[in-house]
Amino acid sequence: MCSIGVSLVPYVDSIREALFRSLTLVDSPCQHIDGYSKPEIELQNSKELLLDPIELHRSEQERVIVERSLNSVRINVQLKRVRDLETWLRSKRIAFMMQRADNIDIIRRKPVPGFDISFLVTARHLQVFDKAALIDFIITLMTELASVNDLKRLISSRGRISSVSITKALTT
Amino acid sequence: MSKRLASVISCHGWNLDGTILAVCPNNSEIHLYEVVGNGGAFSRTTILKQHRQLVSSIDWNRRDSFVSCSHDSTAFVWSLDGNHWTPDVVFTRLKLAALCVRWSPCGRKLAIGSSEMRICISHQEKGEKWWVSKHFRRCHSSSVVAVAWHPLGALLATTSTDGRCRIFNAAPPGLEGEGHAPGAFGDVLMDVEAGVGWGHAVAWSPSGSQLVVSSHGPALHILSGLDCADTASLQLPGTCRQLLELTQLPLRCVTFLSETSLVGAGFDGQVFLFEKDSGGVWSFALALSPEPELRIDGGGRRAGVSAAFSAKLAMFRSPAKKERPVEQTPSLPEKGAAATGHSNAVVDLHVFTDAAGVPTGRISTAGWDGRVLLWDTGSDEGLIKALHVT
Repeated sequence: MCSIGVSLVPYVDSIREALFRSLTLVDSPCQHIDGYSKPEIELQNSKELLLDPIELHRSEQERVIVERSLNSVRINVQLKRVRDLETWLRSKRIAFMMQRADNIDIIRRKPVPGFDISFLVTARHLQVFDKAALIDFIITLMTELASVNDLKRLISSRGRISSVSITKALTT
Repeated sequence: MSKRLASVISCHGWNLDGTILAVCPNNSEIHLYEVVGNGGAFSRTTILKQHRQLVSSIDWNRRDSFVSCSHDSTAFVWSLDGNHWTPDVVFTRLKLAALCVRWSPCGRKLAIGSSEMRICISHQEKGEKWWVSKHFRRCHSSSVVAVAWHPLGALLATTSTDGRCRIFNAAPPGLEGEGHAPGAFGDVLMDVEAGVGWGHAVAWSPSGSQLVVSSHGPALHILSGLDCADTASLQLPGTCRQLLELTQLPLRCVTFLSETSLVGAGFDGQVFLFEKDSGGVWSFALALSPEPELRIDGGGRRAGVSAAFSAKLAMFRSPAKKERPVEQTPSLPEKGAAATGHSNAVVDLHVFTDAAGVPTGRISTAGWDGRVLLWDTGSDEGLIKALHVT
């Protein structure tokens, strides 16, 4: 759907559209164990309940994969590869979110291997939350929290201030 | 003040004259609502607690009793005994969840589809209170999500999550006064693709000559020229089938209103009307309600997350960003407050019929937004009213 190297807006719009189409879930019980309702996308033991994943690329590294199944959708996000400081800041920020997975229902405790953030949306979430809000939340988390420019700026300005005060202390 | 019936509704059902409504508020209870006074307001009269897990389907028969089935694999036939609703056990002999249940047109048989990939046909033995079941030979390879009886009561159409639509002979031997069907009990008379992905719903036309299957494609597969007495007509040539691809989101429920029109509702939260033209080709006619708030708009509407979470988000924003005037976030429509269509997916649709079983054109829908809406497909307005509780 997306060509390589497009700007953010069409990328986000196509993610929005893909999520809008994919978040059509049925509250279905497990076909193998009595009394359970598990996300089929995590179990992966009934092939007929899975659909082909939707893959959206913005650039070589930046991509989103929407894995679809009957009663759950898993959204895997791989963010732009950045330099060391940014990677560190971002990993801290994402780790903060993921440690709070109990409160932030749809975030997955661990990302799927090879990705930075994973979301798991089930039919129950769609019953409780507004669908448009849910999509907006995922997009916000992907775009706003993943960009750590503000934190980086803070660190460099803090570094400048501290170096200035150190030199002041040395010169006096 | 009007109130929603529940926060989420998983299924609902009306009795024949539309005076009693049975609703499952997404748990193991069944709530019965009845009309009080002349204002048309409903009030809850009874709460039935017999199931142990989510009630997945409710269906009324013509004699003012109804059947409910649940994810705990049980099913009960409820009938009014004096002032109390008493359950009669249906021995389903299922191990896994029962997903859908329908009365046969004569009201003497039940068809229950389950996630055990099979179907059971239940009937009442003479002189006994309980219902006993006969299972079909296993021929589904996934959960059976919808069943529909042929108007003559001898055939059963099913759709399942393996994406197939099947027609069975469902006339158990030994049960008198049933319509005749080719083959023996449990034989598969037809097995076609439901469309793309898994099936959601299946319905026969009032005469039984047409069948519609909704699948996750999203698509509707309409089969016409069916004749229940003739096996050859069930092995249709491709010309009698029409696969109608939809631009909407998938339809969770479909029903015929007449031989030339059908309605469907689903994840859009709207009710769509489809019509057959003189050439026999089905096409989308109109949506009965205005666009609901469910649609996402292109402008980056900020997530409607909780206040506590917004505060957490704000923690991350740098001071530079905080100084910016706070964007006015357009508030999301309050869940179920609007008098328009559903604000979440429609999960159940009921067609009102007259005493002879002919659809009157009035339908009712229940959705995950916890509301039951009444519609009139004949009028221009479409939506008649949203049910409210006093």
